[in-house]
Amino acid sequence: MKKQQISILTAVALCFLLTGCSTQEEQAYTQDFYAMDTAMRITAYGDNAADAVTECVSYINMLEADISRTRESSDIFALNHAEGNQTELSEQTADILQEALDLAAKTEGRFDPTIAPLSDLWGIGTEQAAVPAQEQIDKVLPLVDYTKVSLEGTTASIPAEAEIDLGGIGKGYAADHVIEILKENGVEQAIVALGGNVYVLGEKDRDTPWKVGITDPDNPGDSFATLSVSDTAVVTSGDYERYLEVDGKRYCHIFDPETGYSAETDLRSVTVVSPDSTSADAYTTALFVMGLEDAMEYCEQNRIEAVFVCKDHTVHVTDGLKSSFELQSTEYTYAE
Amino acid sequence: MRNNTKLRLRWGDFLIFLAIIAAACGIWIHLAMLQTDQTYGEIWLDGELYQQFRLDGSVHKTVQLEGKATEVTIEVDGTQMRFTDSQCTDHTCEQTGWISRVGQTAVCLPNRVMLKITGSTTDADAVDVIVQ
Repeated sequence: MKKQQISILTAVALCFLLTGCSTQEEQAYTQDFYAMDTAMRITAYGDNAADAVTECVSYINMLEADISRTRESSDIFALNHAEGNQTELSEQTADILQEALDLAAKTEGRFDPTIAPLSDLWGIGTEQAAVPAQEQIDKVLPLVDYTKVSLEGTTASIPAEAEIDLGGIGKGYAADHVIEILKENGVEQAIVALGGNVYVLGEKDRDTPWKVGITDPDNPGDSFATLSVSDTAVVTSGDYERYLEVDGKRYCHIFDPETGYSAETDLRSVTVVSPDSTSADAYTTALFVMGLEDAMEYCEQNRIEAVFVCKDHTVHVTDGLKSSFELQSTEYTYAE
Repeated sequence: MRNNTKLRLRWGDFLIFLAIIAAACGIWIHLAMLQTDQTYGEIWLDGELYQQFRLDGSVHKTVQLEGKATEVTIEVDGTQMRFTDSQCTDHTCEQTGWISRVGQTAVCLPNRVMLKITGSTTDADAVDVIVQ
């Protein structure tokens, strides 16, 4: 090889080394869509990202067709209108209903998939939203009781006038299954945002976790803190999502199944971090209903990692999240 | 026959090195310039891009559009945007407030209108996603 050729080859290699610092980001594919009464976005990275995301969207639509309360063709619509008779469910609907019942038992009914008659009575998020009379609440409250749901295999029944609403874990359940679909398609990096349910797959970069912002309850368009996490679900529920304000008092969409009223605690939002998005979804509701003190104790007993934002603007973080949590807003105080 | 001639660099070789290093620097500077902050405000209607504009401080306007259910009003104020009015049932979109940072979104669900902040950012505090 001639000297000049060696020089040119060396120089070209040098050129690649110098420009190699600006690595090209892996091909990303994003799809925004509406399902389960919320805006969703899935971003996946890699060669097969587009096909994988398309499959995920189809799956979510199929799940919604099974568990929607309002679609007349859905399993849950059939169950809710069966007048107490037995209803045959798809395997998928039976599976998510079983998960909902298990989580209701684990949270002693603070999360309850039979909450629908109560939430319908309040109508928060609709034109008819109003604080009901106590007699109205007393009338529907006995219908809210997950222990009266019977599920044997794929055959279910509920008392007449009772209703199942799987909206409390539907998006969490969807996120868990979407992650499985992405993995099956060879996707190693993705952000799945299904309303208040986020799942981050893999790491953002080698040894670099994803940065997930937690919504600021005072300014829901922005985040007040971040969690640096990988391969996990991050799920938030708060009083800022849907609420009714009467005479300066806020009634949020999260209900206390014991009182029949909108949950009145010292909390503004609860964020749960867990590789299991389905349970995280249910736990955010249950922990919100419990209030800070009981919720912190419950988390410790059940090894749940969570971030709590209180009405007094203090932020409480369970031990397992302290190293990944970062407070950004000066409007909040970190309670050590 | 064995060739014992040692490889010696000449002036021409150094010139080639310099030229290629200069080209590499040029490419690097170009890529670095592409990575500077560029922020866009986007309005999406039922999954389709309705309008996009740079949020560089130059655009101040009010956008009214017919959503899936009712009319929606959006305000663009230089570097930020928000829903100011919606005739929808829950008015959650109005309560979302201003959005201005890459990755932020605001949604009017009944009308299927979404505001998005997109673009690139060099902000070390930038989040990849916000759990809402």
